Amino acid sequence: MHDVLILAGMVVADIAILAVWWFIGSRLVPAEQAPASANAETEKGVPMLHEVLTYVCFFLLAGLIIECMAMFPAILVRFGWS
Amino acid sequence: MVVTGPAKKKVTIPAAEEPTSAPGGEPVTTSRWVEPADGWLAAGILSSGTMLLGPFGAIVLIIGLVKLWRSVKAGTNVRPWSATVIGTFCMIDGMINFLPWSLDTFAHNSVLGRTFITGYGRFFDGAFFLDYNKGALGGVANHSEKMWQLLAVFILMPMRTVSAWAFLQMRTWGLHFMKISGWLYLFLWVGYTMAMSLDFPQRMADSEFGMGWWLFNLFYLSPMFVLPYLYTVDKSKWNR
Repeated sequence: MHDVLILAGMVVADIAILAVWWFIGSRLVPAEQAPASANAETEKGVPMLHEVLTYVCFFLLAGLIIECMAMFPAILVRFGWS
Repeated sequence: MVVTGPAKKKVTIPAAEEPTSAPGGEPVTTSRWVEPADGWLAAGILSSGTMLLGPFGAIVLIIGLVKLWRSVKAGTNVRPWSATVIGTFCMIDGMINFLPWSLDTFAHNSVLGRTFITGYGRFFDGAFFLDYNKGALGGVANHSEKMWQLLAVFILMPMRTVSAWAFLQMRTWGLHFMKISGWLYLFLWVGYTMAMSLDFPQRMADSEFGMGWWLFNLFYLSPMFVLPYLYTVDKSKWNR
């Protein structure tokens, strides 16, 4: 009985994972096959999403630039050549 | 016996016919880049993405971004500003993962490679410092790190870098490959996070700052921000 519960739990978890991927996959239309009407979605609140994502990625980009600038000089100053 | 090969034939390939004027009679100007400042952008991303030339590359990159921002303000841009920011972020992210890991894969015996990689290890991730160059393949000795490294150097990061540039150049395949590499990146993020977490005592606790786990997670989360954009963007603009 102990194993049955474990295996049943595994099956439920697997079905849940498959369902999540079905949900995601069924909503992502490849660009090459997208009908023209697919672009109509850009009128449904997507500009706001793009603005938020642009701000987030801009701050991440700024972080990457700082990392690129500082990493190697910091290594040389702290540890010198190896 | 003298063997003579067939006489070489001179083949003349006719130049591709290029339209010199638009149907309306206006001259067609062909540009190498989507935006005139893209040369600055490419030079800045590639040089700062090496990490070794970071301080110089960042200056070029910032000049490129400022030029592109002015173009957006003037309304003369072809590429949306959001695509510029997201494409640049993804390309520089691909580069800074591709080149340093390449240093460890191919150049772990060089002074430059050893200095950079073990320095990073001492700061952030002990796997890049402890037992360095003592494994079967040289470089980092940690097995899980080596496995992710080879996947990243040969598949994901070069794919990410070229697809981000093609995306910035508004190519159809660039948008397509950005999506593929975005999903692969998600795959890498989950596996790498697990590897880092399981080896936390050896990797993070032995580093100077002990914050490497947070540092890499911040940027490895990029698919979470980029995939929603790629699937909602106006696909018809990526038509080159």
